[in-house]
Amino acid sequence: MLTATDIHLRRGDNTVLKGVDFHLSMGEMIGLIGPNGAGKTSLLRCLVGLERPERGEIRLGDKSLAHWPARALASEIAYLAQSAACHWPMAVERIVALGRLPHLGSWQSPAATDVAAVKQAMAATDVAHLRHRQATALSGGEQARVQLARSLAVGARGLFADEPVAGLDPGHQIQVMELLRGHARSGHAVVIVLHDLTLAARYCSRLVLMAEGKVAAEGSPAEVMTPGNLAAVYGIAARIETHDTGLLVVPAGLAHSR
Amino acid sequence: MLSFLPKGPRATGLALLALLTATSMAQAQTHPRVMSPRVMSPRVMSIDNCANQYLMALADREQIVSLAKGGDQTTLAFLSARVEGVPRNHRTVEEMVAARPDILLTGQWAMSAAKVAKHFGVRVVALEAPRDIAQARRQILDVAHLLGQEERGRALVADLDQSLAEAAARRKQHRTEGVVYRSGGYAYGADTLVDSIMDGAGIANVAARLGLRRAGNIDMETLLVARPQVMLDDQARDARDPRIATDFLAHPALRRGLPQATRIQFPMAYWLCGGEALPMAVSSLATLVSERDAKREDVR
Amino acid sequence: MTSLSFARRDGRLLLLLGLLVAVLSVVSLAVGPTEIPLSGLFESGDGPNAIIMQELRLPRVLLALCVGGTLGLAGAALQGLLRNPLAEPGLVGASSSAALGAVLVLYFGIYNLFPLALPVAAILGALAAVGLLYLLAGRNPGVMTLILAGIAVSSLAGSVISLAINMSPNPHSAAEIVFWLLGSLKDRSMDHFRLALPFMVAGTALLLTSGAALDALTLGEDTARTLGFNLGRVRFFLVAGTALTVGSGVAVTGAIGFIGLVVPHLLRPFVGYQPRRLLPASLLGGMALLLAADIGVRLIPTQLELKLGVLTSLVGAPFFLALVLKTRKVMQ
Repeated sequence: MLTATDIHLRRGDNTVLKGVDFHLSMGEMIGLIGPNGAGKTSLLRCLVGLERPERGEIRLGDKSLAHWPARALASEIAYLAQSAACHWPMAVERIVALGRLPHLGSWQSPAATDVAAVKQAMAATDVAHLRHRQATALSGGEQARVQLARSLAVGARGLFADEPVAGLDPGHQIQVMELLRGHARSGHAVVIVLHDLTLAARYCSRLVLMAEGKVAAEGSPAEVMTPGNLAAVYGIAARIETHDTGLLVVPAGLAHSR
Repeated sequence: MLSFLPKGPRATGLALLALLTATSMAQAQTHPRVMSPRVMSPRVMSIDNCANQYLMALADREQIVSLAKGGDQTTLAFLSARVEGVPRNHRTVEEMVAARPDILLTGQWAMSAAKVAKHFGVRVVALEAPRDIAQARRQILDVAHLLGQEERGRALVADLDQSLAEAAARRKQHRTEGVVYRSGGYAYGADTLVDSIMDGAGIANVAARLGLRRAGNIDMETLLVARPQVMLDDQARDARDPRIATDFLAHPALRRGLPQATRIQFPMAYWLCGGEALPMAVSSLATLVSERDAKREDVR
Repeated sequence: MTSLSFARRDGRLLLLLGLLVAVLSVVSLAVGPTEIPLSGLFESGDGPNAIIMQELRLPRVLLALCVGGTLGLAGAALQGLLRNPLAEPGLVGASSSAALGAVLVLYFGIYNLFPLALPVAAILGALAAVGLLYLLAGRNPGVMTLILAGIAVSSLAGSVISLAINMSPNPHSAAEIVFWLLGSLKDRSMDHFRLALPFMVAGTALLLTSGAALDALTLGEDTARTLGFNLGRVRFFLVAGTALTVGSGVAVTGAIGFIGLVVPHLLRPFVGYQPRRLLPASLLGGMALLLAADIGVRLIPTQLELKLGVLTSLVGAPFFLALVLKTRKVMQ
């Protein structure tokens, strides 16, 4: 679905991406992991068209991302920003309905398909019962699910989420991750930036481990989550255990030699 | 539009100036200097526009310590040729202290200057704005007395009375209804010098009829219903004056609603003070009105 | 599940506001120092009834509709753009900068030669202020930055206006400018209405078409972009629309403040806090509020008619203060 080759991105004097290659197929759920400042968010922003790389090319379908008309691109790619929130105390269903904006004209009212998409997104994220509540009055977990519902309502082929589980309790983290995995399995492509390595290993079909603006390792969770990789990138000594639900990554302490 | 001189306000002002200069020169001839003890005549300083006018009209040149600067376009418009060479002050207390006149002539609002002046032994005379011709007449005589120039005062009053008498003789049975109307709806009602001058010139003041006392605002709607026959525009402007968006007197409602009303441009300087301009104001206004009436009768 | 259609949802509110505007318009036509039948509006000929209705009261109502409506709309749009309930054309300095543009045109006598220069200069003034605000406050200004930037722009414009008044060769001209700055609909003519109308219509169109983008902006600029909105264009539309409406309004009525603050704030709960739905509601609400205020200045018995801008400030400023205190807790 989407291919990026040799992406370079400069922010101020820093080169934050130094030749990244990336490939995303439908049905995949890719986790972008890596320490702070590794370039995960920068890469994600490039992939959704928020940043234009200085060098390299991103192709979506048969066209370069830069050549996509903004509206057409918006219905192909949905983006969920980190700690996304609504600035006004709008009702939940109204916020979720904002996901339909790429499909509607300036003053066009939502059609039946739009209403159905909104309804489905709210049901999937378990916020349907909150639909008339003001989003600003909800708990953090509920708000995160509303925002997720908003991005699902777009009905895009690709969903790109920046730390969608940050700040959520474990129950909601699992709920969101399962939802995203289900979304990928239903034939969509999902890319998420994550800090929780166990969640990443357990739910993602593929992991991209980034360090200092480059891809340090890439592959299935088992291929990427090795003590060697984690020590090299994070500087931690980690125990990787195989569990019936997937890999369990336990950071045990700082690595003594890097 | 009927104007004193059809060339616009500036031209009108100049013509007036010429006229007035002529009259005052004539005046000077009819009152030869009395060789009374000139040394006793008080030296006077003016820090007020109207006081300027009085001094120029009544005082000897040697008596004038200085005149207030500013206001030449309005109150001194008639006199500017004669004012040349007369020392001017900036209406500051400092100048007064330095000059030490015998008398300081001020307007109604010069309290702080008055206090200091008294401290330095300077006599302060505040000129209140006269509210009608009778008060103006008294003020002329008072100032003349103050200056030791009673003769000139009496002459000026005689002048005034003569122009009033001439205007009264010319007056028709039906008085013309008129109003001074300024941008924003500002008008002069009863109990003003303007009202009194209009009355003297044979104009019934519509603003007074509408119940306005002193100066204030008359709503455009009210004026449209009252239908004055003459509108006096005393705000002479030139093209460079910043004109406000609501160019009031050009409002379509006035143009459409009072097409029959004659607009007369009339210099504001005429009625701001009770001094030298007064006889001129009465007679020229009376002339303008009778000219207008004559024209209207021609049309009929 | 209720319908997501905002047209259906807000129909009743808009109808109600529309009715209110209609009633207030009629009242405004009927109120004045003279008792004139409304039929004067349709009378031909030059009778006082016809003239007072057609040349004085009608333009007054039409300008109240235009200026009030666009002030409400521009307030709602600016608040949506800056995601801040305290943004308002007057508070961000657009009105005073527009006034500056107008005063300069009046001061140098350009208006006498070329009347169109008046709204154009006022629009450019407003444009400079909103543009400058963007530079000073950035794209997502906090409450304090917004207010401070607005104060800076306003006081700059105010001081140049004061300079012009100070240097005025004629005290009467100076007084006229001062009075005009206070803002009023009194004694305006159809000429003023015709002068402002094209700019008002253009600006209103720009603002109304930005509704969807404002909705998207509630989710932040990044998300709005990924929803397919070209923010450069959106900002241009909103800034230009605000400048056109506020500038042409100030050019003919002087500065009338706080309508753009009060109206969107009062109506926001009725449209579910949604910026797009707030736009048409604020347009109508602004019309209604300014009409009401303009009726108020004629009914309040004062020696001199109270200036409209003075009344809106008297009511609006305490409202603003209360809003600052309330907002400070929410968004610091």
